[in-house]
Order: sequence, then structure tokens, then C-alpha cells
Amino acid sequence: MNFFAAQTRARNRTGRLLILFALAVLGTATGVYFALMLALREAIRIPVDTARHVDMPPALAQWWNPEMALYSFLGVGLLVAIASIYKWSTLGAGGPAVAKMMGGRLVTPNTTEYRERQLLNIVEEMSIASGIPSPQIYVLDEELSINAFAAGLSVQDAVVAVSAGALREFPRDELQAVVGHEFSHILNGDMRRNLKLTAVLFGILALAILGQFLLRVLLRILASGQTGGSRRDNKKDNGLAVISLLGLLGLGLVVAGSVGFFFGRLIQAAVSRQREYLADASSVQFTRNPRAMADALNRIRARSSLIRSPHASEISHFFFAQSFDSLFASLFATHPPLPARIQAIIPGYDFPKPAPTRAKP
Amino acid sequence: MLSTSPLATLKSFLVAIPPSVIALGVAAIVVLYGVVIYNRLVGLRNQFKNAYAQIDVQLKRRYDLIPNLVETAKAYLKHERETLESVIKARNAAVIAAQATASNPADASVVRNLLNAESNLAGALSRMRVTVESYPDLKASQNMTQLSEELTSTENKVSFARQAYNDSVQSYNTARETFPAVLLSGILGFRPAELFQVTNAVEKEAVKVQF
Repeated sequence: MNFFAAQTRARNRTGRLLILFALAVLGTATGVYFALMLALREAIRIPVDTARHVDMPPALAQWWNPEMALYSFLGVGLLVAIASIYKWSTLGAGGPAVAKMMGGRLVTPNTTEYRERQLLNIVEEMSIASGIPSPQIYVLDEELSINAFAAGLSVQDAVVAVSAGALREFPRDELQAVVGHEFSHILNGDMRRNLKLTAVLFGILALAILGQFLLRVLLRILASGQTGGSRRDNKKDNGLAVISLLGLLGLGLVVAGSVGFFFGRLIQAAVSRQREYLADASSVQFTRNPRAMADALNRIRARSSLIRSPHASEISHFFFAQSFDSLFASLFATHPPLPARIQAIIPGYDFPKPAPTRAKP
Repeated sequence: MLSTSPLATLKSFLVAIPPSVIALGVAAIVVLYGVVIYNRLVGLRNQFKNAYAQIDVQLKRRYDLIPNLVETAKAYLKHERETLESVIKARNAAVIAAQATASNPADASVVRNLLNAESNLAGALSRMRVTVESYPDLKASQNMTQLSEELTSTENKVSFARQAYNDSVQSYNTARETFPAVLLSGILGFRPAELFQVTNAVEKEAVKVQF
């Protein structure tokens, strides 16, 4: 396997996807701008149509108004920034915190368990091969499926957790391939990147929430019948204008925010899949053992990788294999399908039945 | 609305800059780029130097572990004295070769000596492993399994240390030789680095063996 080439491919694709993500954010902001313009124009138009001697102001006469564009882009930027910072502050739990949340038990250097001792050795070996210090190691005693994850926002803060099933069933070289894969996530800052995307997406979602809020205000106004007097007069026109403003703006924000969020999530999942290819290739670089990596993935095909813990979906991006079943599996999948991953490592893989691990003392 | 198009404004602004300022600007960009290249090469060079030190650390650990292994095996392998003795001899020779290399890593003949000693040691260990296979009592003993795991791990670490060194040498050499860094690397004093070659096939086999 030409792992250096595979790594470059994955990195280039990530770059392109991140540009696409930025465009999606800009697109959302553009949507908000148009929603604002539409809302203002319709709101103004009502007095105009009833010939109350109000002319369409020149600022709103055409769709393009640079000042309004500036304000709407700045407004969107500010809202997204505040929401993102808020989300980052709640999300950015350190590696050990995430490991404990998932039910992990720290493996200490003086462990007498043979497999744990072996796991620590494997981790030290990968630490030498990858050039980063050994992270803390946790075992997920309650998880009987085969999976592993890396968490933490920096190399110093990083942890690697291995499920009890993985520790029991992987032979030494396959376990090493899995650990190498997790080391790649730590080395390449994948957890941090993913959390940044999540934070920005929350900001986009905040636009839709704001839109929903405006629509709720509108409903309350309509329900209370405060649209104005029964006669056609100034008050009623103003009332209609307010309805139009709130309604169109609210609707526009909901649409722009939701569409932006949807596409943003799609892109985030695509980025995650590319980082998985990168991690597989990096693992082969560290171990120089493509067969072990392919066999490890093949073993998961035969067994399950689904995680029991309810927190699995929160950190689904960080697992070695797909940790939960999702409805729109292929679009929003955080991991490429196992056969695709195996083919990327060994194009002519024969998919044998995984050999049972020899019992160790 | 703006009275003139943005493009026209930009054009008139650019035309107004004197050529000396443009020249200074270009020079500044070149210097900045040079700084970036320099820093990157320094980082990569330090990385492979550090990786080299790791090799020595792992070799030493391995040499320290081998006498333990032999002691454990001695009680069971009473009739295999020759096999055990050849392991100890090869290990001692490798220790001396490693010390010589640590004090003079640039000398190619010293390094070659070390690689030879290492391949002899690997061969001796490999023969010992084959012998142990035919003594199920020894093989099953907890001491032996733990020790052999430690030995496997140490051998892997030596191998990974050399691999990490070679990978970082490759990164450094590539960065040094690609355009446009190649124009500056000679001037800035960045010389090509040597890969740590494993020429002996036996040596390669000895590592990454599972018990």
C-alpha cells in the first residue's frame, strides 16, 4: 500500500471539503441577506400598495444593497461566532473526561494483567513509530463489541480507549494496527478539527432557532388579534407590515439556517470519512503491516462494533468503526464502509474468516 | 450605489504605487518565505536527530532484557547450553558495537559493525526461540511468556525507532530537495541526511515475532 500517497489524497480532499464548508456558511449568510431584503421590501410594500403616500425607499428599490449586505453578513457572523464559542466551551472536555464519560478504566503501568501489559507495550511501540508521547490508555469494560476511540484536544491531553471486546479478540498485530489508527487521529488533530466544525454548525443552527423564535412571536401577535382596527387605516397597515416582516424574516432564517445546517452536517461527515482513510493509511505507515490493518477491519465485519453507552453518538466521529446505526447511514456516516476501507489498504483482499485468538495466560 | 466600479478604483490605486515600493514588497515576501522554509527545515532536522537518539535507547533496553531471558530459560534448557551461550556472546558483542556507534554515529564503518552485531544477535535469538518451542513446560511458564512479550516489544521498539528515524529523514530530505526550498537549503546549511539501512534479511525476520 502506498500509504504516503493515500495520506496526501486524504489531506487534499479534507482541504477541499473545508473550503466547501466555508462556502456553505457564506451561502447561509447570503440566504439570510435575501430573506432580510425580501422581508423589508414586502413590509414596505403594504403601505405603498394602499397609496398611503409612502414610496419604496431607494435603499430597497433593488435587490442589491451593499450596506444591507454588510449589516446582514456582520449580523450573521456575530451570531454564529457567539453561538460557536458557547458550544465550544461546553464541548471541549479533555480526553480523560471523555474516557470516563464512556465508562473507561485507566490502565496503570504496574498492571499485572497480561493483555493490559501487552496493550501498554503496543502503545509505547506506536508512540515511538509516530513520534508523539504515549497517551493515557483506558479500557471500556462494559463494551463487548470490538471498537476503540481516541479523544482529547491536544497531544498532551489525548487518551486512547479500547473496548473489552477488542482487548479480548484482537491478536497482537491487529490490536497494534488499531492503536496506530488512533495515534493518527491524535497526531493529525482530528478530534479538534471535528469539534470546531460542530461548534460552527451550532452557530448556523442558532440562525434557524432565531427564525423559529420570530415565528413564535408572530403567532402570539396573530393570536392576540393585535393587527389593528377593523377599518383600513394606518394602524392596520403597520400591523400587516410587522406580520410580513416577522413572518418572512423568521421563515427565511429557518430555511437558510436549516439548509445550511443540513449541508454543513453532510460536509462534516465527509471530512470525518476522509480522516478515517488518513488514519488507516497512517496506521500502515507506523506498523508497516497492511495485512494486520486489513485483518482488524475484517474481524469487525464479522463481529459488531456498536457501542452500548448512550454517549456513543456524541463522540461517534472518534471511534475506530461505526459506533451506532443511523437512518441515512451512507450520507451521514462518520466512517467509510468496511469493505471500502479494506480495499484501500489491500486492493485484492480475500476476506477470510477471522482466526480465533489464541488464549493467553 | 457607488459612483465608480470597484475594479476601476482598485486599478487606479495600483497604478499610483511607485515601483520602488513594489520592489521592496516583493523582496519582503521572498525573505518571509525564506524564513518559513528555514524554520520548517530546522523542525524536520531536529525531528530526525531526536529519532536517532531513540534507536540507541531501545537498543540498550533490549540488551538489558536478554540476560533475564537466558536466566529464565537456563533451568529448563539444561541440555541447550550452546544455544544460550551464543545468545549471551552475541548480546555482549552488540553492546560494545552500540557504544561505539553512540559516540561516533557519523562513521559508516562503525554503524555497519553495529548492524552486523545486531543481525548476529537476532540470529542467535531466533535459534533460541526455535529451541524453546520444543519445551512446552518452558513455553507455558508465566515468567517465560511475560519475558518473551517484553522481548518482543523491545525488538519491535528497536525496529520502530529505526523506522521512525528513516521516515523523519525522508521527510527532511524531501522538504530539503523540493522546489523552492532547494534553492535556499544549500545556502542555509541544510545537508542531506543518511537513512539507517537494514541490509540483513535475518535481522528483519527477528522482529515482530509473536510467541
